[in-house]
Amino acid sequence: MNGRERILALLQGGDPDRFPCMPITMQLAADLAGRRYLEYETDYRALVAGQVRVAEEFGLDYVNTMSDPACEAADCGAAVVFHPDLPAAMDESNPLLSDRSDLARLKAPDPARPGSRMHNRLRALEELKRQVGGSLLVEGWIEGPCAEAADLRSLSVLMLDFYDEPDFVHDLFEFVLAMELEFARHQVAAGAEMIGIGDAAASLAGPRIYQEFIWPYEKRMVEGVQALGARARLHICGDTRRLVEGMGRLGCDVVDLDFLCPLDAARAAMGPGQVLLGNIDPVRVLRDGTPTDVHAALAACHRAAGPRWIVGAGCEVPRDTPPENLRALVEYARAHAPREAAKD
Amino acid sequence: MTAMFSTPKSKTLSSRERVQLALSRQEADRIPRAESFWPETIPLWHTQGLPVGVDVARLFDFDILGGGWVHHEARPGYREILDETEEWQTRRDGNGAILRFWRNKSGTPEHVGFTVRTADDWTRLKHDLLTTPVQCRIDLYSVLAAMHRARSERRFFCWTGVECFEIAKDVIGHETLCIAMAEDPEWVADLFDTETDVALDALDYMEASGVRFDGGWIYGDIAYNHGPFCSPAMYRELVMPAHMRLVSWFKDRGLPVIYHTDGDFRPLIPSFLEVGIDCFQPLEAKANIDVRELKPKWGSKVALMGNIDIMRLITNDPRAIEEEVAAKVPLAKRGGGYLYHSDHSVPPGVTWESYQHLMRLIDEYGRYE
Repeated sequence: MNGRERILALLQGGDPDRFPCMPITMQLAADLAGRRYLEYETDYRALVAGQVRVAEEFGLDYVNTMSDPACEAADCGAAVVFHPDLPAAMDESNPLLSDRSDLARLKAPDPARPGSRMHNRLRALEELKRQVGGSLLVEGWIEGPCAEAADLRSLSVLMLDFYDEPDFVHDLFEFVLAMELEFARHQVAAGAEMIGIGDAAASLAGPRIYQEFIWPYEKRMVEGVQALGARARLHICGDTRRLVEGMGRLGCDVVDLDFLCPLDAARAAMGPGQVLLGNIDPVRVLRDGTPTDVHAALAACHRAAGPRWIVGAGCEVPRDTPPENLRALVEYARAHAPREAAKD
Repeated sequence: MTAMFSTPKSKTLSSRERVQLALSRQEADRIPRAESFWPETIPLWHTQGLPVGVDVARLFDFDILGGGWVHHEARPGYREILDETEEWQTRRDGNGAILRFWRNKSGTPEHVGFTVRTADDWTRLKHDLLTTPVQCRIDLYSVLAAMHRARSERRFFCWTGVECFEIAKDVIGHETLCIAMAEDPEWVADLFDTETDVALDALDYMEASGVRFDGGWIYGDIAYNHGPFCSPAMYRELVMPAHMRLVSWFKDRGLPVIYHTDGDFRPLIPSFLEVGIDCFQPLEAKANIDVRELKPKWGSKVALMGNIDIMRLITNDPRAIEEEVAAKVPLAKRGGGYLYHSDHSVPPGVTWESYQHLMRLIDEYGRYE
């Protein structure tokens, strides 16, 4: 089985030869390819070089196009701060929608517009599909409703809007949903077989706000992605313990959990069928630990998650992670199969 | 070493009168001044030329003296050490908060965890809180001594204490508090009410024991560098009733109130004015607060205190320090209603020489003709 077949087999309820391995790599991939991060996130050729290199060097089962949270917002006209060697970030002091009334005039960008950041991502997918699409699963990426709304409105103000301006939040989430599904449609056409949905800001909400405002749009986003024929992977950075029950009802193909949410809690909340991904501590264990630590932490994840599991870290693999630690992560996946119970 | 600076009317105008004039937005002989220091700062200055035993507050003619701190822990004095290394110590306090402190330097402790996470947890803690006698929450000798000292030095004597948001943060942490404010407002309202009752009981007790304050200096960090922790609407619904009760204790006695909050609190200013707050402090420059913006907009309604940017002071560049003072103080003091304070507190990176330079500048730029 190659990586692509392995992932798809697990998602389809089949019996892969071993656990798939899908850690998130971005800065590490850029470094490995000898590219400045600014180049990695703005020139698809650098991103492709980094993803292919990291997948080949470590034996990962997939490649992906995520690079920073500001791609769609930048194409909407939002102020973005670019750094030479770090992911781009929103200029929180200067949000695009500082005035709520601007939403009515905001037009969703065309992902196919040459020169745009979204178009750059599409070129990356086409090239990844061409180079490795036969053997590795190619994953695209969109921002989730809460994360993208925060990018456009500013995180701080959006959190207040939930309380003060609920109608506006729904309008904003509708805009984001339509824009992201259009971006996903182009990504699937460009070769993506899985679409990751990054909704980091959602973990800042409590369960009632999540259920009332965020969950319905995540649900429609997941269903929209799946209607395009792609698999949906949800990743919410941060502590999602309060949200896992709802996340389990979204119908995601993969729920990718940050390390702050114990996998046993997620498994209990989501049931035995949900494919979980993760979630060792990327810093304390993967970067700062030893291969033995990595193995032990993954074994604990394995025991908690059971057979419907994909090996990965809780979030992005830090760029200065020792290679032997990342190899230990991959080795765990290689040495264990879903049909075998966790032993060590 | 005697007072370093004299002021033209200092013989006739007491610090108390000077502060009262500033808080009522009137000019005096000079702007009043007060300061907060990190614990390491003054000991380090002793190695840089500040004589040991010299009181910096007297040396620089600071005008305000505080006292009457109320201990809000449900179990006063409880201090369970959970873990420690040479660098830090993790301990559980009398509210059940698990905090990690540096052992060899000061700093805001890391919030490791909180025992009170739900309304039921709070109900159990509340029992302990309410059954602790008010006498355990106040060091009556210290507050009386501070009052008498302030009187003898003709300084403005104010209650320094915390309000409900600040205390609730200590009990349940920012994360649980902010989420509960949106999702379980009844619990939070009870928490705010109860802690406000504790503060008011303590104020009544001090008053009954002979303590007389000239005003209140209420601490409540309700904002961070990007804005308030709650929206203006949520403030009005959940926090304002408790603030109103606490501030009213002073207003009922004709006393002014200084409100301390870090961060960018600007969206809450109209509500703060309704509550009756007389002065905002410390006007954190790092959070985009600028007295030059606030003064024209709000200066006719409220006094302003602080905003001298520590990030400029810590450069220890005399010219940068003078630029900061010259850019802000003349405008801020115009017509009265401005008091000197740094925009938070003075860290040890500010040298003794730089701070003396700053005080000379405050003396020069802060005088009224």
